Amino acid sequence: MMGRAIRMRMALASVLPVLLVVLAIVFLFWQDRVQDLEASHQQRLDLLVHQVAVFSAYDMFSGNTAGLQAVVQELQRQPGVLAVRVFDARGLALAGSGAASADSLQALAAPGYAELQRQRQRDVRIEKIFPALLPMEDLYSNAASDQALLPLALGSAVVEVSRQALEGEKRQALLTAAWVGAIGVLLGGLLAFRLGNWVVGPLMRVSDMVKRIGQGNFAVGAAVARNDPLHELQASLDQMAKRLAWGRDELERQVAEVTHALRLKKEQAESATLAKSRFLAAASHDLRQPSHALGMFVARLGQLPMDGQMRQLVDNLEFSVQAMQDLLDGLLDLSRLDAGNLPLRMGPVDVNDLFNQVRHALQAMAEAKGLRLRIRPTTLWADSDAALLQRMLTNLVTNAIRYTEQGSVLVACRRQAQGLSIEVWDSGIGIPAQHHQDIFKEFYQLSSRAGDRNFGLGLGLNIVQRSAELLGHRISLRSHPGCGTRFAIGMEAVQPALSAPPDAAQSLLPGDVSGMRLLLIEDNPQVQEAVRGLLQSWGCQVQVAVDQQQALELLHGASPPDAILSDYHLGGGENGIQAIQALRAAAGRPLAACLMSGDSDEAFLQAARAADLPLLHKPVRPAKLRSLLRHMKS
Amino acid sequence: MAGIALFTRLGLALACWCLAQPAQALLVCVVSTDKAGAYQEAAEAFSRELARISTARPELQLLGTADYLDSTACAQEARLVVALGSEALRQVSTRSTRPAVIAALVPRLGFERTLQESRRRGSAPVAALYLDQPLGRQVDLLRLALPRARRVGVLWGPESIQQQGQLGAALAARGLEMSDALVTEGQPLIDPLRAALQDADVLLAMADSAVYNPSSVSNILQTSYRARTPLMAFSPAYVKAGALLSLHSTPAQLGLQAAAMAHQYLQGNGLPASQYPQDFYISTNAYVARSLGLTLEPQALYERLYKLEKKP
Repeated sequence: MMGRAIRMRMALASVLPVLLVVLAIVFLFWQDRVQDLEASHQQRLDLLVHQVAVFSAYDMFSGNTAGLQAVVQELQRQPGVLAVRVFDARGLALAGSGAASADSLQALAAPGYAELQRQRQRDVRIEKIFPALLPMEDLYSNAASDQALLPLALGSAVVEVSRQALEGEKRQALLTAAWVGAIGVLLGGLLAFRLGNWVVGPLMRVSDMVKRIGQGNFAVGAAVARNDPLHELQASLDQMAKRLAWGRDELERQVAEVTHALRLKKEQAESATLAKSRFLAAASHDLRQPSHALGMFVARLGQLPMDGQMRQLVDNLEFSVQAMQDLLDGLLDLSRLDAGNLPLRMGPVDVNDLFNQVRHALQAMAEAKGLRLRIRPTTLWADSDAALLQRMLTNLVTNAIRYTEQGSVLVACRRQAQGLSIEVWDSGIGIPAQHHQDIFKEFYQLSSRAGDRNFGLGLGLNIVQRSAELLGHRISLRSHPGCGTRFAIGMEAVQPALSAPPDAAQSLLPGDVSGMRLLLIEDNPQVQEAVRGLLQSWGCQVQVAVDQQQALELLHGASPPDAILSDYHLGGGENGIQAIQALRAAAGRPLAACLMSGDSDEAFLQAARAADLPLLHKPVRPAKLRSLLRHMKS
Repeated sequence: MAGIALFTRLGLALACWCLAQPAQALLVCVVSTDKAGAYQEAAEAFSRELARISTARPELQLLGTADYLDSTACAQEARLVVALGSEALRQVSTRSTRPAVIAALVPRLGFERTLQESRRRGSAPVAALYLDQPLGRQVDLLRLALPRARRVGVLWGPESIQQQGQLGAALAARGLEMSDALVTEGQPLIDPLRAALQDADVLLAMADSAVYNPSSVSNILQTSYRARTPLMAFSPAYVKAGALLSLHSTPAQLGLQAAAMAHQYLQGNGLPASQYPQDFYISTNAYVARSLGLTLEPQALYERLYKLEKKP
């Protein structure tokens, strides 16, 4: 492609001058030829008319019209002669032949007539006929008297000649000139092309070398020709290619080394992350059962009659268990987010409902710290996952309460151009600008508060941010030290739904659960004992089974229970869903049932949804359990 | 006798004295129409001959016509002015005061016309040596060259017509007839030419510029040739152009004769009378003669004519 372009330019550079020179020469040649032709034509015309004049002179003198006619006819035989006329001194036609363009001498001799006829391809020439002059150099001749005797014209001879033959010859000359020009240009072009190749060849060889180097082929040494005009350039290119090859090899080696080192580091980091995740998962799961049991025990303990000092002790114990269970919940959420198996249930969410739930959950916490939790009612609905959004908002409000010593925490929702924004304002200590990014990291706490047990593990904001990423919500932060903090979650707004989807765990009416007959399936003895004790303290009649078989036996032995509470993992490969389904089959009706599990595996969650069973995550809050039981009873 | 001899001696002594004085020398001005060609030839012949025959050693001054008008010496001191050619004569005649003039190389008719014009201005003795040949000589040559010719065609012009009678007489005296015609100005030449050539055996050209001029000569020669009538001319130029023969005198012959005339005058014998050339020359065109089936020997013709003239 490049070669062709260079050849084209070379050819153009060589052919153009050749073309111009050839054209100029051909033009000059043609011009010269045309002038020659015209001149010789005019000369011939002059000769013809002069011939008539000379040959007619004596016949004119002697009045020999027959002789004149003979002269005229003789001339008429000349090629190209159209007409010949001889007029006497008075303009009277004496002899003529051919078709003249005009009959009278007056017309023929009129000014401009010859030019007019010339345009009609006809040349008209007139010559006066004089007697032949014979100079007499003798003693009788007298210069003065001789001049006085200048001969009078005897008449005029007119010859008309066609210009067609001349024009034909001119055309022929043009054709010849064109042929000569074409051949000249062809030969010149051919020569220029050959010369161009001669010049371009070495360039193309160098270009090929460069192209090969460009394609990564550095072994171009073989193409270096000693007799090439650009030998030095080729040699330099070869040297350059060798250096490039060496440099490339060196670079590849270094890259390989660095890549290897990076891979090692990455593997180390990945294994560390994996270890952390495993630890988190294991810790959260393994801590779940005892903390679940502990929660149950403490709840039951709180229902026992006791004195004031005892009551305070139990309250503290309850608070501590609550905090521990919150931490476990956070770790569980984090592990679920890490595992990426959190299913999204996007839909219209009534923000006001959300606010009520948060108020319900955190009002007490705020009041305990002497803070005012202000929640501004709203009519807006958001497009989000209700559970995740509630977790995010709860975390933000919890965070705000934790870091605010006095004043208030405000929760509000406002409409924005892109949708709506749920905002949490506090009058707390604020966050320095340099920490605005870091606070969203896992286990990150502002240094001044690190180690303070009241401030959690530093997972809350990390969960908020990861949830927001999952939901496609925008998190923004505005804060200055000592001026409070504002967190905002931006999301799409939607039209209100006709009816909010009922939340099994939250939308329960308060009521009594005493007297309910319950069947508890739990393989862990501590948990079994704790739950049974708590349920019994609420006045429920509890039958306990460790597996499906035992539960079926209990079902056969007594009347069916009002509700079944079952752990998911039952040992021996059994699970709670299968047990509940078996019991329902045995009872012959859909018994109310509920699953309890510390498992965050997505397969399990899907199975629970498929079976349409309510699910309580361990550690189960006694309040939640009670609410669910009330709902089941109703 | 002795007295006469003494007188003669005294005269000679006076003459010698006069010759010794530059201002009183025998100054002869030769005014030439042209300083080249025939005039020059005539002037040289004149000078040579005068120097040869004159014992008085006259001083010669050769001038052109223009120089003559500027020269006061020729007007005031010259004893004699020799005008060579018609133009020279005309210029010399324009001066009112002048010495005696010998005009040579002038046609007779032209001389007479110039003489008539100059007589009105004043008189000085003028003698001519004519350019043309005497009519008798011409007719004699005709008879010698073309013995069978009986009728002689002649074309007269307005000037030459004056000689009609003389020529007619000359012809008649030798038993010849004249077939002549007059060329009038403005009329085509062809008609009088045809008339003159009608039945003529020879065409005798008589100099007249209205008839014989460069533009007519060719046509006249062609016409006469077509009529197979030979032309006898008055100038060798016509022989070159196609005339059969011509009778004329050469410039050298005329120069010699003029020198003799001058010598006679300078000797104190008075200005001689105007005269025709004594010597002459015959030239012929062999090609024309051959094509007409004639044989002409110019030398033989000359000798026969010369002898004829020398007969008493």
